[in-house]
Amino acid sequence: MTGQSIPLQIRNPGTVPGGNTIGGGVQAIAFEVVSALDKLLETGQTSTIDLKSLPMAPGEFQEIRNLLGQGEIDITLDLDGPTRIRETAFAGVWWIHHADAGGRVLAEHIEVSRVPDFLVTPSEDITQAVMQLRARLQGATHE
Amino acid sequence: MNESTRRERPTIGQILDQNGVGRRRFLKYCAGITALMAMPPGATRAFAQQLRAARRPTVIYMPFQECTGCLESLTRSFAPSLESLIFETISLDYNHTLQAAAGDAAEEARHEAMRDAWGEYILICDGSIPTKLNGQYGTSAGHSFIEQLREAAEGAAAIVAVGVCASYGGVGAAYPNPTGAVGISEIITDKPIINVPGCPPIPEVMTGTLISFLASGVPELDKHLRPKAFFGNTIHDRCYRRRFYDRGLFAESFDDEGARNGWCLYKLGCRGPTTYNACATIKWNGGTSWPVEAGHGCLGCSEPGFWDQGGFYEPVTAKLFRDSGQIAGAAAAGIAVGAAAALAANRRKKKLSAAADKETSS
Amino acid sequence: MSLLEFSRGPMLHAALIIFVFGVLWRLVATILLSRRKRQSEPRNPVGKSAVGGAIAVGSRSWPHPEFIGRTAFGEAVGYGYHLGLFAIVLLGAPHVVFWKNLFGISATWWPTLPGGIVSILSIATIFLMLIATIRRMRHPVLRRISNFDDWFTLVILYALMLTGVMAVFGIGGRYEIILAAHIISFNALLIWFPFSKLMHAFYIFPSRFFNGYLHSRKGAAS
Repeated sequence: MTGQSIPLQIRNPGTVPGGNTIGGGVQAIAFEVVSALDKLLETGQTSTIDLKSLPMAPGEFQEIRNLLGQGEIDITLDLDGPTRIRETAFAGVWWIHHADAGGRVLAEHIEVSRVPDFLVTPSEDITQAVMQLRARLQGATHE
Repeated sequence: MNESTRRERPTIGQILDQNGVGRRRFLKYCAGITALMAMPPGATRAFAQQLRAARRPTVIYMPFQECTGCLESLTRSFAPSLESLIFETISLDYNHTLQAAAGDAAEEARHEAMRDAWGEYILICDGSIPTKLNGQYGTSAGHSFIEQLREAAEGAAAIVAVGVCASYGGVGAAYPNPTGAVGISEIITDKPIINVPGCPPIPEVMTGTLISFLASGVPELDKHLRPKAFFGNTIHDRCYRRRFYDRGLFAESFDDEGARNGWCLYKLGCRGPTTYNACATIKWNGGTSWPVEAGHGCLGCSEPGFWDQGGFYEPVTAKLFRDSGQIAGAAAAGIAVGAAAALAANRRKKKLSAAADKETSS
Repeated sequence: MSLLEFSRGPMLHAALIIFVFGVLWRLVATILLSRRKRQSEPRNPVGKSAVGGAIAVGSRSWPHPEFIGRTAFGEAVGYGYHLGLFAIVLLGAPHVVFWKNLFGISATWWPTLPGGIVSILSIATIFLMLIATIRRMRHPVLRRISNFDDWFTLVILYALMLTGVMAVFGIGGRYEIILAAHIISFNALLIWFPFSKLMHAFYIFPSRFFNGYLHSRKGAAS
């Protein structure tokens, strides 16, 4: 956690209503992440924690981000709007953020897995790639 | 004609392929939908498969006794990109407000769309159905709303009643309900009906329900026919201010210290505890905020009869009667009867003791 | 009309009317019934007698030293659940909100207890009432003199307390149904109140006061 700086735009630095966010919301999520990591190691089962549906006080979201920090991998796609897949400072814990072209957040969740599910290439796409590449090669040999 | 038309209708997957929409792009869109419906993110891939396999449906949108707020809310959810593509696939075949056509031509277009997709089209309704005066309080194209609804519902695969008016009667049905307004489900009883209440409903809830229906048919509904995915929890259960409620920290008036600290709005009339909706998680205006976060208590706008639950700034347990002197009258009567009873008892005692004296003396 | 609307609407209104009517009837009748010319010479002026009455309210609220050994347990349990109930009903936040709305007062000075404390008190109060109930069922004398009044009053009280606890902890089903059940239990209490032993709430202090006053007037110790 020390020395990890997250290159993010913080909208309202420090203005949390009331100042103190009561409740162990952040800790609860962190504990869930820990048990999800254990499960991944033992059974290979992946887990997800949907952040959009959790009732969080404005400051807690930032606190979770700070807690999890930033890892080595940081992928940004433009797919009808930005999609950002980041590895957090904890291996196996990924932060997935989907937004539409207008910047509206479509989905935001923490995924505990070896590789985020979104990055796994679907078989149908691979089938199509085989066909396309074959066609290209056939076209090349005919010249 | 119908069988071949149905078989000809492309699947959503085919439409996406035709329009060059890659699988990953579609997966991202589905991730948004499953998040909306509180499905675990791991279910996204399966959901995407189901949706791809669904056929392009016909949708008829019939407005009744309404303010058009629900349609306005629904159209605000059309962000450019994949969502409009999906909804173009839905082919909104009839809608007063959105379509350019009017008059007989429009009516004929609607009938044709119904015939072509008989038994398979989705009927979306907003607005309540007036029933008094034989339904004459609401007419269009020379027919009462009751007749129009019955006719339109006949060939529908399912009916989605959007907004609290179509679900239970809404503002039209508020006391004294002069038009006899009722919800769709009180007129049509032989078709699957999904209520999506709210005043208006959250746009993403409306579109999410439609998409969910496309992917897997009628979702799990609660006793008020609302999809449990969106209406399964109360606002109170998901409210971020719940911790303040639990600790007894309340705002006493608007803009007091408690209000500024973001404390619970229970004392200011928040209907959160008895309201089932998704405002606390999905929020409004694309996730910007929602009434409680903005500092105003929940109105309970997705519940039946929410207009008649007493003042919006009175708590959810406030008295719901108007006393015009009955209690004071009861008090006066009690005192009078008590005094009379005591008087009568004392007199009787005196009489009895006088009689006893006479006996002993005689 | 939903159950919740009914419970806090027409039913609450009717219950309050019956409650007010019944309580005033019994109170006024009881006070006036005892009005008679007292023939003995007053040994103390009215003022001093009134003080004697006030003292009696306090002194008779505590058992005589001779009897403490035998009555301590029952007294303690009784005091326990009474104090618990008062604390919950008069200082619990949702109840304070209800009273203020019912009487139409704003009373910003009215304090409330933190929710956690009220929850603990509720469990403790139910526990004490259970002890009292079991005692009533097993005590050789209490068992024989307990009548419908005693048992039915307990039924209503348990309904109130259990629905209240269920509402606060969010257990047992849909909140609006449980809330309605709680309010209906309260309405039942209001209706039953004037015709039952619950009237002791209104009798107890005037009764002790009159006793002490009359004794003082006659120059007797109380």
